[in-house]
Amino acid sequence: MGIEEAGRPRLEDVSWEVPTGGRLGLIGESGSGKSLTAQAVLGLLPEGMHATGSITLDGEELLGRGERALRAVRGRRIAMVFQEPLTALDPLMTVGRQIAGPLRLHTPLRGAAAQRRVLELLELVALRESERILRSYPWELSGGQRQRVALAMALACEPEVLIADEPTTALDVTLQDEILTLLDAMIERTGVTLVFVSHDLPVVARVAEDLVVMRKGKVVETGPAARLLTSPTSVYARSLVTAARAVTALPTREEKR
Amino acid sequence: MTATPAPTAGTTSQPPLLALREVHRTYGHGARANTVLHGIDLEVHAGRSLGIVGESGAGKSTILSLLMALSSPSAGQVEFRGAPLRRARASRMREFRRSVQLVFQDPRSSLDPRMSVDQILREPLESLVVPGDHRARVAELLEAVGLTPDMAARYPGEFSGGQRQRIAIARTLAPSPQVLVADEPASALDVSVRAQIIELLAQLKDELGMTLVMVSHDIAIVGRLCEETVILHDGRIVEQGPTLDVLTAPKDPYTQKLLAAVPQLPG
Repeated sequence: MGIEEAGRPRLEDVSWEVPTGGRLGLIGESGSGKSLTAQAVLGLLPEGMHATGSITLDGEELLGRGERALRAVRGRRIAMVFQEPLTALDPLMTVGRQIAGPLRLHTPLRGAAAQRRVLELLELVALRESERILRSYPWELSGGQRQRVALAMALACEPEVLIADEPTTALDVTLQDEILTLLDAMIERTGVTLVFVSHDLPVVARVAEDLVVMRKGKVVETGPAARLLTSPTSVYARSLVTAARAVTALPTREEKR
Repeated sequence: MTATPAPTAGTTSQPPLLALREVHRTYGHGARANTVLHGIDLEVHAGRSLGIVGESGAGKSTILSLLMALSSPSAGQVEFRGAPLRRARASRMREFRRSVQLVFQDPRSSLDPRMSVDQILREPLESLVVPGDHRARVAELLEAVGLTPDMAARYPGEFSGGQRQRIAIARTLAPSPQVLVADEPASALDVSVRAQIIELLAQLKDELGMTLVMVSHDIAIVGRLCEETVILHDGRIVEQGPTLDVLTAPKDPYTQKLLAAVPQLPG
């Protein structure tokens, strides 16, 4: 897959696949093209850019499909969560109506059945006090609660693939820990296939089985996370892992003595 | 990076460079009053860099503004070299501003895009009335942060994020301060650049004898750069002491939770 803007390539020869139920991490620094890759999969590239090559879901080509056909995929078969849930949630709509939104759009569930599904989703993302949460507006919730609501919405229609773009970057470290633990449990329970986009290697290391390392619009290395994070082969991945170790390592007694 | 053994709080004859004594800070009045700091006591000693670690809402930004004398405590006292800091005394405030400088989080917003690097670095020299040859000082400052003197004629927009943070750090070094107060100095940067800025700060400690006060959510960066650590939670200090003790043998449950939450690479 590639992405062009005004005839110039922004992304070139990006190739990867995730098996059903797999967990892929897309890693890169600013300008690597990791978020553009995710947007291309969803058919949500910014104005003026277009994707070339091929993007398939369960063997079906998505590229070149019309907006109508894409809308049947987006949110229903491929769902997404973003870095800042406050911008993804409608500030004028209660959380209850927002979570029910995708159900109305993509499923025949209505009334009491829809309500039951909403409560089920809140339980799935471990949001207690469901009555109060459902009546709240997004700005009345904490950052962690908002990201849980965004996850509940994403999972509402039992998608096959969940694309998470820096879903914990805006959160405090203890909240990040909670959301990552939750994400892990949710994947186990629902079997959803995960594409996790992040600049943060140690965070990706917690959730992904396979990694794609990107830099300046190109893939520089792919491989199982366990191998890539301990013995990267490309120069760039090696420098990224070294830098990540340097900035996240906590001191130990032995080291200083 | 092993620091020279510095005198600890009890044994030193020198007063601390900076100190907060029983500091409380309340915003608003009456029924709407919101107390964000509850009796904070801390000292910054020369050669013992201090990390103040906390999450959102812990009171980090309020402590930062008190330490920089940008606001005053509701109760308690801020001390500079052993004496209370009052904003009214102009000569002492100038001495304070020369000695204690602030590094901001995001160099994109802290550098004026219409000023050349030369103008940016000269500004504190002029406003703080620093004596000497300013042209030579600008060249010296650029070299101290790993840039070259010929970059002085260029504008912030021509530099990368990491280079801009170096320029911002060079500006804080202009009046030869003793203390750099850093507000998440690396968190707006990509990981490889972040590692370089951490390296630069470590080098300023070693080569210029700079004392850092780092206000950060990032416990790893504090572990790398600070000899002393304070853990802040809901406006209170829950644990404080030598960094190695706090990070390897945390006693407070919140500190333990915070450390356990830091994601680590395998292997």
